[in-house]
Amino acid sequence: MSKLLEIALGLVTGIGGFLEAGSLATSAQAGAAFGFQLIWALALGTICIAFLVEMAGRLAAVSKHTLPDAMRERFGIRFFTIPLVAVVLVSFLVLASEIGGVSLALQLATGVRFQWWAPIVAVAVWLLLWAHNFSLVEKGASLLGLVTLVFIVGAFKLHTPLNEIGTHLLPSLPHQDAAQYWFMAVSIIGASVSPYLFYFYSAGAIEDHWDESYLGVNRLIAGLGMGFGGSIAVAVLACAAMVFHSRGIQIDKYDQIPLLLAQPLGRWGFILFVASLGIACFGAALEIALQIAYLIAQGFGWKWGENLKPREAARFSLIYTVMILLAGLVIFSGIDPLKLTIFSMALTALSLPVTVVPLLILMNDPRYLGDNGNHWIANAAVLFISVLACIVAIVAIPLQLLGGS
Amino acid sequence: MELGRDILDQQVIDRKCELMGKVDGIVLELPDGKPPRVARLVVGGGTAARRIHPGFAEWLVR
Repeated sequence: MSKLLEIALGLVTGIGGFLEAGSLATSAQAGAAFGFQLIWALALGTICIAFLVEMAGRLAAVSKHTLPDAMRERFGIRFFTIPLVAVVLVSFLVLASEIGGVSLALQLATGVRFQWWAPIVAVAVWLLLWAHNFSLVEKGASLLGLVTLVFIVGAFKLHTPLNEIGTHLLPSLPHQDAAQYWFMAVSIIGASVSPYLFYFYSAGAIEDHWDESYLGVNRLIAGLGMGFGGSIAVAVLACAAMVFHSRGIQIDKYDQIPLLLAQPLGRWGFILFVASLGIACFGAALEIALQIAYLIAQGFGWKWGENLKPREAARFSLIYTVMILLAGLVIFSGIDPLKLTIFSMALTALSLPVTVVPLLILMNDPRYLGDNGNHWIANAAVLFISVLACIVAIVAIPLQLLGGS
Repeated sequence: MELGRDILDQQVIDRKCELMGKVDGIVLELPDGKPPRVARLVVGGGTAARRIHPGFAEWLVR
């Protein structure tokens, strides 16, 4: 495949695949509750994920190792178990959130309660993976995911003041509801820096047989793809600030969120919101289910691959089957998908050091990267953001659970 | 060669280069008066579980 096409596909995946249940819900809630004040958290999260995706791609291109494979080899099984358990746990919760997101889109479209859609969505996700035509589905979902660009149109139609976005790129202290403010900040960072993004990316780079000649392509895809993707999340936050915050309305339920686009774009806004939510979450559910299977199979050295028939990679197929089934059951139980999503994102932020520090150690190990090791700026930026998000999460999650401020 | 660093947790492949698992354990023989030698490599959940924590392996067996 020509490199230009690779870049184009990578950018489409970055833009169309960035927005999912987590980034949509956290950005919308943050915009409604605090206006533009939490733009800085989105910026920090986007910078961090761009660095991490670039590192995962570089590791794969230079060392020919996926991330779990290299972590198991470098640190041994005992240490590897810690990031393995952390990433599987948060990814499972995010998978359930995505199935919840698709189910809610279907509820908005049909009026039938989301619980009843959950098993159907879970079976649809599983069938597409089982039928081993994931490459086509992934590219299709990313292409359809470009519908999420409608949030940028919405933000323009609402006459979003660009200076407000610029002003809040720097962090500021909350005027009220400090516990909720910091909880939202870590949830936004968690949503942006979901580990599934860079674990999935490293597996893709290996399957596409990347070598060192792809380092430039990798840098472009990571920087531009995540940058454009992050700007869609900024547009969601801006729409929420303009539609909800200006009227003093907080978002407690998913049903309220379509107003983000219905207000500036009318009936088409509602339809495009439902399409954005459904497509974005469905694409993410496919990727996360696969990523959990990748992680475990690669860590234990089993056969894996998105286009292998189930009988060719039985354990790999069994893992995503069980995960999708359980995640579908979580949503079928009637748990509030919005609360689950926000909580999963905060937990992701809490687990960041466990998932990110081993990657940083690998990226500075000449046995894996040779002369292509990390620059100190990349180390410092990722370490700072991950540890900061974790510390804030340690304080903010209990406070939020206790309902304090 | 350092066994712990260079063998343990490395990928095992078959002659068709298919992935078979990771080296979960190394069994050494200690012949009288001779240096230890590698008897076999172990690929399997039980050995991996014991390396994670002996209690975890016991729990799995139960």
